[in-house]
Amino acid sequence: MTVYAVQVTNLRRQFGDFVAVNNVSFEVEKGEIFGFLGPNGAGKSTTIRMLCGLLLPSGGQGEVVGYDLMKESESIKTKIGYMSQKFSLYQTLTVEENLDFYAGIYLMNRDVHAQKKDEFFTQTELGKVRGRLVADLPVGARQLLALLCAIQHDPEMIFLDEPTAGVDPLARRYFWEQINHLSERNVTVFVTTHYLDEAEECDRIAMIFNGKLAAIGEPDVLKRTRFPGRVYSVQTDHPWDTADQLRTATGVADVTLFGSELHATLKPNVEVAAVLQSLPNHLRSTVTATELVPTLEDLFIALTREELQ
Amino acid sequence: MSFYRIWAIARKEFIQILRDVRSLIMAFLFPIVLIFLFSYAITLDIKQIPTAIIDYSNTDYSRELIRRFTNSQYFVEKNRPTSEKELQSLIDYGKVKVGIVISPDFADGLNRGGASIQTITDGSDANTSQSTLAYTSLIVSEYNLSRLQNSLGARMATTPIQANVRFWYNPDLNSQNFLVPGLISLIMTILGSLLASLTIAREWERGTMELLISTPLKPVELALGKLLPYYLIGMVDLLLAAYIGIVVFGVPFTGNLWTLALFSTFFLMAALSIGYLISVTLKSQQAAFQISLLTSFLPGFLLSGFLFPISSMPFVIQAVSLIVPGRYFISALRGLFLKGSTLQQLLPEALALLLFGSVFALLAIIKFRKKIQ
Amino acid sequence: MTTAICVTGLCKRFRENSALDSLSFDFPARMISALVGPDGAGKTTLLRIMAGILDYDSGQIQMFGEDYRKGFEAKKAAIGYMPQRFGLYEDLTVQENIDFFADLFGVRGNERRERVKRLLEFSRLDPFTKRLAGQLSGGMKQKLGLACALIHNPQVLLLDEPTNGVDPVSRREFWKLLYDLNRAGTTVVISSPYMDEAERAGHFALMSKGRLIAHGIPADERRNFQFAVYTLPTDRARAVKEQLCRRNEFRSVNLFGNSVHIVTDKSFQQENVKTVLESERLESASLQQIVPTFEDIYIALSTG
Repeated sequence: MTVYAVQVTNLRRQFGDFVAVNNVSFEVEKGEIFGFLGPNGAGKSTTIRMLCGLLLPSGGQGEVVGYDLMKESESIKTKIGYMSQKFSLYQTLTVEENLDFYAGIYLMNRDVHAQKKDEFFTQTELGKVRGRLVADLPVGARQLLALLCAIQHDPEMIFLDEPTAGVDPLARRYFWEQINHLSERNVTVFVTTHYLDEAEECDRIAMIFNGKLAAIGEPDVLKRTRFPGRVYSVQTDHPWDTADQLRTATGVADVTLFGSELHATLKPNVEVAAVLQSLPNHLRSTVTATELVPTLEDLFIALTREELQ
Repeated sequence: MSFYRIWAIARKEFIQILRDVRSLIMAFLFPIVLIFLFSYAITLDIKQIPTAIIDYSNTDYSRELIRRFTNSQYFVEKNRPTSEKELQSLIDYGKVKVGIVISPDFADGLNRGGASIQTITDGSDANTSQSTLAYTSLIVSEYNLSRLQNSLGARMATTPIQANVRFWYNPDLNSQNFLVPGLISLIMTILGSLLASLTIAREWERGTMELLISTPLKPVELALGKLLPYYLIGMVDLLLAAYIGIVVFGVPFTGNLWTLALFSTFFLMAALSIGYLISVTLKSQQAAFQISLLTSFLPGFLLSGFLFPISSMPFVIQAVSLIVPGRYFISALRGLFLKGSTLQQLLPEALALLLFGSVFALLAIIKFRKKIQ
Repeated sequence: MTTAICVTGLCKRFRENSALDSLSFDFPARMISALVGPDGAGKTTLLRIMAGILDYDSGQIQMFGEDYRKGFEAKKAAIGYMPQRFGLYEDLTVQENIDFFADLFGVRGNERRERVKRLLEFSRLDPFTKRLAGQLSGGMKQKLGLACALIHNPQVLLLDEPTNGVDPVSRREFWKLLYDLNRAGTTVVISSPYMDEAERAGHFALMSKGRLIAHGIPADERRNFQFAVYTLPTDRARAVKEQLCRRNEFRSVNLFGNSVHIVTDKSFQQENVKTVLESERLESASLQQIVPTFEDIYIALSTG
């Protein structure tokens, strides 16, 4: 028994000349909720597909749920669950028929499956709609059903590819409760998302840019240790003019409008007072600045900027 | 109405057709393949029927009859079995289609005036059997006539009535002359109805229609812009098909080229409007394709007189064929190619096609609403 | 503050389902308004009606004081619309798409050359004019959609979930484009399923089940929210949540990563919350009142 659900070293995948994943190494602990973040086209999907045994790596080595990535990809598939952004549910089948179908694919024992279904239907709201067609369900319910379809065969690890796009916040909370619940039962959860506030709920996250791993660790630790500089919320009566001035001021890394306020990222070791002092008089008089805890989004954007330079 | 917007739509549609291999195949390759396929593989005249002959008589008389069979272009002797059992197996295995058995007393019978031969055909191929029957009768009666002439002297030997049939406009009864005009109509039906039926449905399916209807574009402009490229492709196909028919297959063209262009325009208007109406109504490419196959292509194939003469269909089907635009187009095309008909002679056909075109175009434009349902 | 689009008592039903339930809202001119809510809240329906491509059952809708039902086709020239699904032609290049919409809106001559050039620069698509739209990344597609929606210099821009499924960097860039437009005087209405996107707008409308549940200026809404929101960090968030839910003393209790968010009436003081926690033998020292996020606001209002 290893303590790691995923352990890869120098994982690499090329498509022609294009290196989609460039010597990536990381571990995911058993029972952990691991968030995998990155811009579109950074190599997230390619990595997930390699880990799920759907795509053979061009180089490197690794194990997923104890099986070798290169040689035992079929064994990996029996021990994991996968739920993608575009749910793999059949719209013209009912809730129950979808569950039955996936139970069939994973060769589940009939009695075990019946018991599982009972459990699902009593514990979740899907019990009320078991005979309804998937096409008639709200997005949140479909999401949950897709998750249940992916976990009913008791996988050791589950991969979720942008599972909560467009779901209402309540359903999203509920969905995350289910994910936490899985993690408590020692199921490893590997999730990608564009909602960076959601990523805060992960035990650990990794950020991937241009096929390379840029950061890995606990969200709070990363925000403290990896964020270059500090973020301020700037209130002003003249947001646009102030933004124009701040963008050219020395020591300012980034300025964005945020509703009626500005968010300004200062470079390390720059005092906010000095920056505000550099503003012309008529702007300076209405400006106040308060420090913000950088969000994961701030970190994400800062790391992207580093990557580009 | 803005010609600028019509042109914008037409140009966009053109680029899309040129970039889509499937559309290109449908528009240009498919018509050519169709013409060659029909013209070479399917001939309506049955010739060179594989035949087996048993000659029990084996006399000069029987050999003379056999010669008449094998010298005709209709029968080819493939086999000379020795027994009827052997003949049966030849037919069963499909080696021959026809068996001719000349009995041992053939010569005696001839002299007594009561000879007969037996012709066996594979009735599962009804067409060939029909032709065999006709050709056999013809050959046998010619044989009879020549024997009469021999025995009575030429002067006396005339049959009381001689049917003097002449085939005008297609003196050799060449089936390609008959097929190629029909094929042109079929190709234009495919192009008009099938391709046009996909154009609006595709925009709904791909989600591009939502943006299109949020602009000041008018339904008439959309229709004209969308159909203009298909009209031009249709005319190119017409020239292509006519060229292949005339040059490669030697089909005569005796009419006026401008009249041909005019009729093709009328017909394309009808076909395109039907396709467009289907597209506007169904909003899904798959459904549109199926419906246009059922409502345009099949009637255009079966009920237009392309292969099967309308006059020999049951009354009800004949009535139905009245609303198949292909019927009028084919009749006009045959007139133009083979008979050198003038526009004046083809006026009823022209009016029928125009009526179809305007009714369906109007329906399609009314039916199209710039709203999401 | 003038009103760009004024919606009054708007109703729209799809068979039995009510998509918009007597909705009224004034979209202020020359501002960015965010229409926020989950899928199925009615955002797309409202935007489609405002774009004039969907009929409504009852109610009234006006643009700059003129009723929609009167000669709407002419008004379409004043609107730039970007549907939720990529509405451009994937088999046409960037340039061909822009040209097509320029043609449709009758933008010609020098004006056209200048505007196309400016939009390509503005959206940073100028290096990609020859690329097929289908081969662009998600963020670039959205920028192309925006460029095409702007080709006729509309007064009002309607954007249906342009940032959905777009990564955070592209999302931030997209917003920057919106601010630039807004600065130039364009009215922008943008819908989003991301609650936090309400905060970026000058004005927000929070929708749930075809109704408006809150609207106003985002910062004010957060600061003056009608309920108090507390956060309690804990290692056993799920268990604590269930325990507190059973107490039934709070308006709602929700899980937020490794903490629990407690929503109460404002009259319910922090001390009272602590008392409840202590009676449940929960550690209460780290309890903290917070400025609610839009997600808190949505959950509090839609469950109330």
